[in-house]
Order: sequence, then structure tokens, then C-alpha cells
Amino acid sequence: MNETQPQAEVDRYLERLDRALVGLPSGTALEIRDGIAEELSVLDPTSVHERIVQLGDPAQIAAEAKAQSMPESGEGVAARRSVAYVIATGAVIGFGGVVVPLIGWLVGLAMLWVSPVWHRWEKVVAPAASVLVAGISYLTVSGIAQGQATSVAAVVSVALGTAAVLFGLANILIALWLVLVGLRRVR
Amino acid sequence: MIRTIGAQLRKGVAEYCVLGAVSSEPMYGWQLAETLGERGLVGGVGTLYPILTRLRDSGLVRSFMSESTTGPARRYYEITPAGTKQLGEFRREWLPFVDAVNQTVGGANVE
Repeated sequence: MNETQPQAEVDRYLERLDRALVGLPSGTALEIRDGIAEELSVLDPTSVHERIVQLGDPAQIAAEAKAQSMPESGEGVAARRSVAYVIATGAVIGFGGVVVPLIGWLVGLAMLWVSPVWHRWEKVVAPAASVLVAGISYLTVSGIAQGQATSVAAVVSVALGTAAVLFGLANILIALWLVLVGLRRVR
Repeated sequence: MIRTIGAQLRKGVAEYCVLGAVSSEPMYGWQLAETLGERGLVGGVGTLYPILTRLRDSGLVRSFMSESTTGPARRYYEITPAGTKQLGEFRREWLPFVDAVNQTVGGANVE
């Protein structure tokens, strides 16, 4: 047997599983995915096909998991995993803070957190990354400006302004990443 | 109708069956799915993993990675002290409940 065939079959199965699991709570989806991937990884190549047959249709696995995990159903949940919602969330995260400073960004984060499209770690990394960028830029610029500016107010002003600009740019890049990841899962 | 009754019954006890299974020894996901699936207590991994997630979020089980001498590391699930306590309470409720249901629905002449 070609050694790459079982791995190719595993990869195809996991891709189908990933598509089927969209819409599940991210923690549950990750646990299912990791558990199945782990099980398939420890088998010798001759047993992989049989185990995949035993696991069954990924759509069926996802349907069972959804029945267990999601007491709510209907239009609300479906809306939060639609293409339009993914794009809207990205737009609000990327540009909401420009339209309504800080609050717009927080609204975007709320839209991110209530959607089942993204995994929990993505929901944590997204805001953390832009805050980190802002924090590092503030400290860096204030350190540089202290040697050149004549007053504390001037230092703070320059540092804050730079941090705000970089915060905004970081949000746009992060929003783009979230949209690309999200669209891959909902389509 | 029969299939619905079975599903309803399983739904009520599935979490405790998972607790019972891991109470004697830590088990990994597929091992649990096979053990409980053979007894008709869970449908498959799609049913099992949400239960494990709930139990872990509730602090009734915990998971850990364990190296194996025969292959890659696996994630195992084991019962916590809180889970043991919860399982004990279920056991205290279960037998009287089963007796009460048997007395109420009968069953001696039903196939």
C-alpha cells in the first residue's frame, strides 16, 4: 500500500469534518476534531480506512453533536454563521473603532464572541494582538520622545497618537484575518 | 416511537454513564466511544465529545495527555473528586428510580 494513501484519506476526512463542524460551539468542535485526528494518527496505515468507516459520515457526527450542544436553534444561530455576518463582524472590528472610538471596536468584539464560526483561541488572540501592538508602540514611542520632547504632555501626546494609529492598523489586519478564516468555514 | 423512547432515556443518563466509565480508570475518546457505543449508551463520537466538554467545563472530569510506549500521546479523561461525588449521588437516586418506574409501568407481560 502506498504510504501516502492513508494520510491522504485522513486529510480528506478531516477536511470534511471541519466543514461539517461549522456552527458548533468552538470548544466542542475543537474537541471532536482533535479527538478524531488523534485517533487516526495512532493507527497503523492498514487500519485507517476501517476506522474512518467506523467513525462514519462527518455530517452525521456533526448532527449528533449539534443535537447535544445547541438547545437553541433557528434563525438567530444560523444568522451568526452566515457569510454576511462574518463580513460584518470583520468590518466592525476593523473600522468600528474609527466611526465610534473604542465602543465601535467593542461592538465588533461582541459580534465575534457570540458567533460560533470562530474558535475560542481566535476570539482571545484577536483583541489581545491589537492591544499588544498599541501597548508596545506607546512604550517605544514614549521612550524615544522623552529624549526629544520638552514636556510630559508632548511625550504622551505623541505616544498616544502613534499607538492609536497602529492600533487601528492592527485591527484592520486582524479583521481581514478573521474574515478570511470565517469565510473558509461558512462556505 | 421506540427509537424516540430510547433516545430520551439515553439523554437523561448519558453523562452519568460517561462518569461511570471513567470512574474505574482513565479512558481516551475512542475507547469511551467504543465501550459506551457497544452498550447502546451513546450514538458515537458526535454524541460523546459534547458530553465530555460539558463534564470538563463542570469540573466533573479532567483530561490529560499521556505518552504511550506504542505510539503518539493520547488525551485521556479521568473523573475528578467532584465527579465522583456526583456519580455517587446519581447511584443513590438511580436504583430507587428504576424500582419506581418498574412498579409503575409494569413489564412482566410485555415483550
